Amino acid sequence: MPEPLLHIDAELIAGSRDLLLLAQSVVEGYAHGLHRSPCAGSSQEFSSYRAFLPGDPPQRIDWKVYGRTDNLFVREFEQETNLRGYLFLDASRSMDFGDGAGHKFVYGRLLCAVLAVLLQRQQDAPGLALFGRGQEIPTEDWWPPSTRRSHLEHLVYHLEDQVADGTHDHLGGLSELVDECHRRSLAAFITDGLVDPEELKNVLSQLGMRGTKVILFHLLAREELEPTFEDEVVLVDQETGAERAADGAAYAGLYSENLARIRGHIEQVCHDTETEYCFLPTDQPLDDALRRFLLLRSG
Amino acid sequence: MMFSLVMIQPWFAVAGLASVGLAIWMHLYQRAASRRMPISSLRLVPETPPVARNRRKIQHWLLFLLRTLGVILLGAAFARPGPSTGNFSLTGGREAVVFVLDRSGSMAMGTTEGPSVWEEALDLVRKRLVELHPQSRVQLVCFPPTETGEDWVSPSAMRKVVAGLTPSLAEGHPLGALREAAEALARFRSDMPESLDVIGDLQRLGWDEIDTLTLPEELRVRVSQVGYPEAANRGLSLRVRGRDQLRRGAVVAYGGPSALVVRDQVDGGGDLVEWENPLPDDVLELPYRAPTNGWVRREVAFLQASDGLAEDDRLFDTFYVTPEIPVYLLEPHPEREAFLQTTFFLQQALRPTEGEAAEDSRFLPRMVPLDEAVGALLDLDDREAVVVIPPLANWPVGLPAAVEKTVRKGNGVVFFAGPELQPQDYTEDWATLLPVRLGNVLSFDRSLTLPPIGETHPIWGGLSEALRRRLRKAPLKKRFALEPVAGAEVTARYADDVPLVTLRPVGSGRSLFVNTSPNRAWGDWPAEGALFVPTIHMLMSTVVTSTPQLLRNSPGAGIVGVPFDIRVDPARANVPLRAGELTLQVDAQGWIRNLLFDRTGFFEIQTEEGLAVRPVAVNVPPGESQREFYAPAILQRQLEARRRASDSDGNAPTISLASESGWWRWILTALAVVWLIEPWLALGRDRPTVRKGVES
Repeated sequence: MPEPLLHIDAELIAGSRDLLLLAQSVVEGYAHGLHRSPCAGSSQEFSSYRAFLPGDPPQRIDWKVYGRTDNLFVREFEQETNLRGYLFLDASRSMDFGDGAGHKFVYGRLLCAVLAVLLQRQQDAPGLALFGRGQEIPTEDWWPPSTRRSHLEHLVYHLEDQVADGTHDHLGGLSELVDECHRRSLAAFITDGLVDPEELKNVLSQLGMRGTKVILFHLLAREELEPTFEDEVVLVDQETGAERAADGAAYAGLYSENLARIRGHIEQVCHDTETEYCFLPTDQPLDDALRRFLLLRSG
Repeated sequence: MMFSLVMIQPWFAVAGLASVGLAIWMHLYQRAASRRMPISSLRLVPETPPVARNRRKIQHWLLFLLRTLGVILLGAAFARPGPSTGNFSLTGGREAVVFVLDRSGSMAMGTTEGPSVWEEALDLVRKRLVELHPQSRVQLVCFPPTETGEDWVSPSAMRKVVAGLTPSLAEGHPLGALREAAEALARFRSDMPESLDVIGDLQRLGWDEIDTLTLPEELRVRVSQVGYPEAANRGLSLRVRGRDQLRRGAVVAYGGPSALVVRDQVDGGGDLVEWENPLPDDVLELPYRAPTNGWVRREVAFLQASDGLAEDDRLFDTFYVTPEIPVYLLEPHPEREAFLQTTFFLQQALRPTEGEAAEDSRFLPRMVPLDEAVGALLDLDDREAVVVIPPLANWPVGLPAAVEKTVRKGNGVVFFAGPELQPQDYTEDWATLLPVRLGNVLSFDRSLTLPPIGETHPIWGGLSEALRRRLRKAPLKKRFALEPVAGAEVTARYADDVPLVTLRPVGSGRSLFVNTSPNRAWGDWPAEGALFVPTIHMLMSTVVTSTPQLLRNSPGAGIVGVPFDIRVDPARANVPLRAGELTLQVDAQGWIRNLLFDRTGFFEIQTEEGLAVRPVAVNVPPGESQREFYAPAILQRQLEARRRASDSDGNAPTISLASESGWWRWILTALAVVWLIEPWLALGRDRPTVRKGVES
């Protein structure tokens, strides 16, 4: 088994209080050896000055600067992208589960930030929506895509403050929001799949019909995949607070079957809606997720 | 000797066993609730889990047994078990038994249902007598003792003796009775088994003393309690507070309603004065006052019906009300505003308008201008008046002679020092009255102190402890250097031994010199009202010598079974008096010593001819009225310990009634171990296998 490139562990997360920095370092690590080479675009978004080099078109020389400094500088502009990336992060309380770096929401939040940085590096416009908190997605949880550098910072800083506190297992106003999505775009769903499957299918279908490439990252904590039941326990639903007594000893087998059934169902929904399905246990590195995402973008 | 277990509080052991149910309930019903496991969503678990929450079985046997042991140990510790080696069982053969029977005041208590405590005790004695072999020998020792002691008799003869017994209202002290019982057994010298059977309500009074007792080695002991705890009780008791002119009766009540009714009856046909009084803080202070002079019988009772021991629901007291004592204050500056007059503070102190002393004061101050003093004193017919002479720079001719004449008739005079006083002039004019020879004025930067003033101090012993402490540091800053004249007595001194108060008998009266000023000239003592008022009252009382005042200051109430002294007119000295069946002797000072009554109420002391001398009040002993009891098992073990003490070298071990057995220490130690293990075991079992995540 090859050595994973991106170690996401508790130490890494604890060592960096800055999610943007962490996401950038993850992306840098992944894209090791590749340097950002901003191409000179024709958009109105000014990027920087640089010294004139032979071969540069003379019309890009800034004559006012030349008048002040007697040196030739050309002005560079950010190239506008044609691709918008929508990141949909599940913020329902079921995501508030797991230990340390394997905590589902912490993991999902980092993945979201990494994808946003990656999109930015690719000159794409990242957007963000957090769902699972109510019937509709509030304004503060919806960040439409933009290529501005400050947008990425604001987006990630906002993400940094979020917790999984939604008490709804449905997708809220995501359906209406999808209607506003750009036709040529990319969407990533980051969820634990504990949502209304029919609603999920509708949203994915809706995106598919708009020509959006969609990938669903299905996060599950290791404790969910391989729980240890002992004796009689009262299981408490994180989202609703509902309780159910269970005899753990006789329960383990049934639990695994049920979990496999849920995973299979989500996979089937993804297949039906031509959505890329990526299963991500939260103790796994992010390599696979990023690779799949980049493949989706290029493909 | 058979071994058996005795519990002081067996109900706690029962409660401990009952609490085992709590441990069972915890394990059967609470076990699921204590194992809560968070899960991200119930979608992950099957809809119909194969669990039966109503299936009840104990799963953690070790923890269950530990918890069960814990509650049993807790109950056992509170039950205070201990070994009883004195298993009392009838032999069926001949025995020598001494019954130690409590016939103290508390045994006269009636119960709400069934027989009274006393009847219950007698029934128990009769029952024991029936159980005895007819040829057994029995003796009865009572506390308080009966008037005629009993000898060893047969059980049937003892039944007749018991039938004639009555309870007393006096205090019961079991130690003497137990000693008497031990001596009786020692004297009996027979080969029969010997037993001691103690029967009573086991009131705490007196039992603390049994550590000094030693019982015969082979003696079998049985302690039985009667009357406990169903008889509720309340009561009144009397304490006298203050002294001299400021005496007052303090009625202490417990367990009763919050209001008392007070009835005062003046002997000689005075009207009955009756009023109700609420009870502030369980103590009601009643001044010794009445509308007319003479002996007063005071009765205090609860407003509502009485309880099982009716004798302590009423309280009796007697006191003598004297006419008010005139105090002539010779004022050198009558023209000044009142508060600038030399005797202003004395006028205020002797007739205060507020505070307790305002009700109690028996002094009647009269300000006499110095110019008119001679005429006023020559007309004086009072035989118990006081003349106060403040520090004077000069005085009318003839004043010293007029004062001396007044004092020699039996009145008193009080001189005060002060800046106006010229020692040379005083020595010349007042020599026949002054108790001291005056020297120079001594000034001090700091306040002078007095030596410690005890309860027996001749002037101020009746002050409260707080006031006595305060008086020691009274703000006095100047005084005369002086020495008492022949025949004078120093009754109070400064800490450096300089006389503060000096008393001199003059004819039938008394003369007093106070070595400080009556106003603020030589210190701020008069400005401290709470201290100055009672101290001045007591100071004035020392120069009043009349018989009515002596009677007023003598206590008028005693308690059943306790000898006490009372005072009558000294003119009755050596005259035989009677109080009911008692014949009384009066000493030269008018005291009747060691009066002893066996019941409560008012008793009249009379001459042989039937003339009333004074009434006496008698009450239930306060200790008998209060109901606090020992558990019989404690006393039984203590008595057994006294018996075992004679097994070895005869030295009685010191065993407190509170530490009857050391078992409880071991039980508590075991309990502590259980409680140390239990959390460790419980936490180990309850450690969750799936934990909720931590937000970063």
